[in-house]
Amino acid sequence: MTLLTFFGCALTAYGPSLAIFFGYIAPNAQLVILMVSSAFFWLISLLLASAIWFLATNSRNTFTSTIIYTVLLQELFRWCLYLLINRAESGLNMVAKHPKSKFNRSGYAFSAGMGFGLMFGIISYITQLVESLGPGVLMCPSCPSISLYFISAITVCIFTFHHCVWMMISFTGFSNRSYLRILWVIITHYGASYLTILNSSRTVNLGCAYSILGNVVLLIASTIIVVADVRNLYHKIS
Amino acid sequence: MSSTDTAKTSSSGGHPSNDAQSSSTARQPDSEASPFADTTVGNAANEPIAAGAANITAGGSPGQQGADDSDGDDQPCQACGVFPARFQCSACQSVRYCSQECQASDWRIHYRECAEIVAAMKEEQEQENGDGTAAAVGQSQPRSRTSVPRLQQGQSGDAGHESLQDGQNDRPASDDPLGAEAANVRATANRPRRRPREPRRRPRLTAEQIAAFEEAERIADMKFYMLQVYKIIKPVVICICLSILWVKISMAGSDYRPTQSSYTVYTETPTSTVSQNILGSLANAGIIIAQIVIVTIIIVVLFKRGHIKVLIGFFMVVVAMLLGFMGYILLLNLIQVLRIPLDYVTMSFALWNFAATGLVSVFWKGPMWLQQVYLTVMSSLMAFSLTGLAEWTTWMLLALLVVWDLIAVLCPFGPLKILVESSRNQNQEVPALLYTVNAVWFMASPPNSILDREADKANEAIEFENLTSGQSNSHAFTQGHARATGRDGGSISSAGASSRNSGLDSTFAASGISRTSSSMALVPNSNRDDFTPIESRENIELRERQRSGPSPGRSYGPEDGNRQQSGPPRRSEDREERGEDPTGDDDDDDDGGGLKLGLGDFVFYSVLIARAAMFDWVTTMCCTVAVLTGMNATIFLLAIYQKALPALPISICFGMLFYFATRFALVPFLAVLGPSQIFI
Repeated sequence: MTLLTFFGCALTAYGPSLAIFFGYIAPNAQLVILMVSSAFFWLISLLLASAIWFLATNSRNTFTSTIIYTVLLQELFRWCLYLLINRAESGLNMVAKHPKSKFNRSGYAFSAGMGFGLMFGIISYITQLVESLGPGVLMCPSCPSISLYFISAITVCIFTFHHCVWMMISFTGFSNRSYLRILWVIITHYGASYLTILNSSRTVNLGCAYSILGNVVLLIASTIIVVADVRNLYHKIS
Repeated sequence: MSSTDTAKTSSSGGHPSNDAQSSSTARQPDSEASPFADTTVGNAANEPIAAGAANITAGGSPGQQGADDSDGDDQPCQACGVFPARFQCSACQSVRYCSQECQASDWRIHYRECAEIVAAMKEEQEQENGDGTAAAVGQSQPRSRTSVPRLQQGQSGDAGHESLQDGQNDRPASDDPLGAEAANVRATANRPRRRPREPRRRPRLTAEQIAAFEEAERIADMKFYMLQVYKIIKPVVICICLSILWVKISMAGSDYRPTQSSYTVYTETPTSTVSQNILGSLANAGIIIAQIVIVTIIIVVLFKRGHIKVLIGFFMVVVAMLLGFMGYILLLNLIQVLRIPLDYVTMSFALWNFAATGLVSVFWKGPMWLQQVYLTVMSSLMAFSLTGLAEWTTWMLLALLVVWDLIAVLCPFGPLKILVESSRNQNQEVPALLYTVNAVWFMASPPNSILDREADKANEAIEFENLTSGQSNSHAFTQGHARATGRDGGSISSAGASSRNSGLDSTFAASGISRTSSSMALVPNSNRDDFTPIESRENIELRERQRSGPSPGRSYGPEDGNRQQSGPPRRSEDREERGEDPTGDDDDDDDGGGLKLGLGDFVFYSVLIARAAMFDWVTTMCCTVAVLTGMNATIFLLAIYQKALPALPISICFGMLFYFATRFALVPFLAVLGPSQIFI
């Protein structure tokens, strides 16, 4: 189970995002730089969240409250990142392949989202992934027949894409002042995070399945919004 | 030349040459490319110099030229990416636009490649037309700031003025006269670092043109730095990954971990108190830093006195020791952890080959990729050997290094700064010295020959360069730098790349080169167990080289009046300055081929992350992102200040901050969330 589990889980969790990274982001200098800085932003938000967690000694094990401020901080830094990119956009556009393209912003948003997502995936899963190299196996509490590593890998993969689409939706929302989109991002972020509580639930049978299915549904809904936005952009141009 | 209308030409299926012939008189046989032809045809016609009659005729329907082309719609608008892109650049016919506005806005980006293409076309044309008649004038575009290059030959004089006047009326028309200037400008922009042997004529520019030119420069700068960051991230990430790998392997139960240097006076024990640790590690780090400072000063003195060979010999010894000794330790680790059965004879044979190949490729010659591999491996080996330091000592050392880096690079009397300045003062000498110092110079020679050629025929050379440089401005820049720097190792490498014609490669090579130089620096570091100071020396050398590179750039700068105005020359100077310095640790320099990051920087980034890797994976990743972000920020500042900056402070501060924050807050936080599978 050791090496096989390790590679299976690693490729499940990071395979799709790495493929996108090497296929789309890595060839573009400005997108790589954007991704690194957005990863940095996400990291700051998480460090702040962990600092709060560290100080809030009483509620350290109450996940419902932990999620509240963690998600809020992430959204706050998403907004900061938007402000930063907004300022740098003219510079980024100068370097872009098609400086006038209206789709540049979507590309930036996607790369920034990938930075969030990849960093999220690495930070929250790499410890488990390394543990999966060991001889033992941890089973998922709500679905005792599946290993915890694999469930986490699937969730991480979904969350990575979640971050991408959230970033794209919220960028559209910020620039168009469309509060509905911002609200949607925040709500789905909370929804996705709270759904993962089901993973460790011992009372809900097959909780991990509900959690993953729910996240997939949210991801599909968000993706539809993104596609609609991009299509709007396209129609506006032509 | 290029002025010919694309649509027409394309529809006729011919070369621009037809038009050119018809065109009234080509004033300049040599005239370079005309930038942009499409839209402005009408204006162009008016200009005396302006394109021939052919253009005018074509001009009647400027807009539609592109439409005729059968090529079709498969190519999107270059500027906005939109699809019906019915117009194409009449000069080069290689890009399409949906509207004149797009073309105009894209011109500042497109003009370089346009010039290259046009230059190629021009040659053909000239051949066809025979000498005299050929040159068309570029027509002008209203917006084209850069405008067509004027004749370089100098015929342009009268005509140029007239055209200028016209142009001033409407901006577009002005091109030709401007064009000449533009040609110069462009040339400068493309290969800022190159130094023509013959001084160029100074173009007269209108304020608008200057502004436009400056903007083009700004964009080129942006692109340049962007690409440099991109090129530099790769080796840094690889070096970091290797260091992590060595640490993880050696921690997997090996008996051969690197040990603490015998210079340290204090040994941490689990029972010692915090204050004992702080004072003891401060003493340890102080000793190491003092060594670095002394060595740096010695190097500076040697350099100022011109004892380059001593330095080189020293570096060679250091490199050999690093590769041999640290390679041996690493090999022992690998053998033990992976349980490889290996006898001593085989191992010593392999090790000998490894070290000898490294020496040859670093100091004499070898394939670019091999040099880069060796530099990266050497940096990671250095970092690995430094992981033997106790934890407190490591952090204290990094903190002190940040301070030293700041002092050495930024203070008025900082050794590195002095070094840079002295190299500048001795412009001519230093480069030569550096040149010899870099065993690498060999590679450089082909590029030099190219330069010479270019110098001989400035115009042709320009064209040639453009062609070779390929598409990206950055390439051109790097090549230019490299050439200018010439002697520097970096320049050398870039030159090699340019000879290959691969622009991108050249940039990469340049970074690689810089590395090589830095690698030399590294070598000293490697000795470092014994001599940390050595590192600084090496860095210095590197810096010196860099400087030398820049100096050529300058020489070139003065030649071009325009450039100086525009600032590329400045930049080159800055870069040269950057060639910098941070002594042991250091920084980025961009000179010759581009930004240079001292090997010392590589090493200490890796040391920080290797130290984090000894703790935890999450910490490692956090520190990596922090260090990379710090590096990006440094390069960003570099682009702003255009002078040598210490590369360590921002990255190391971020890295240390993130290390402790992660270690004490994030890791326990994740330890609670992880097993419960809560994802946030």
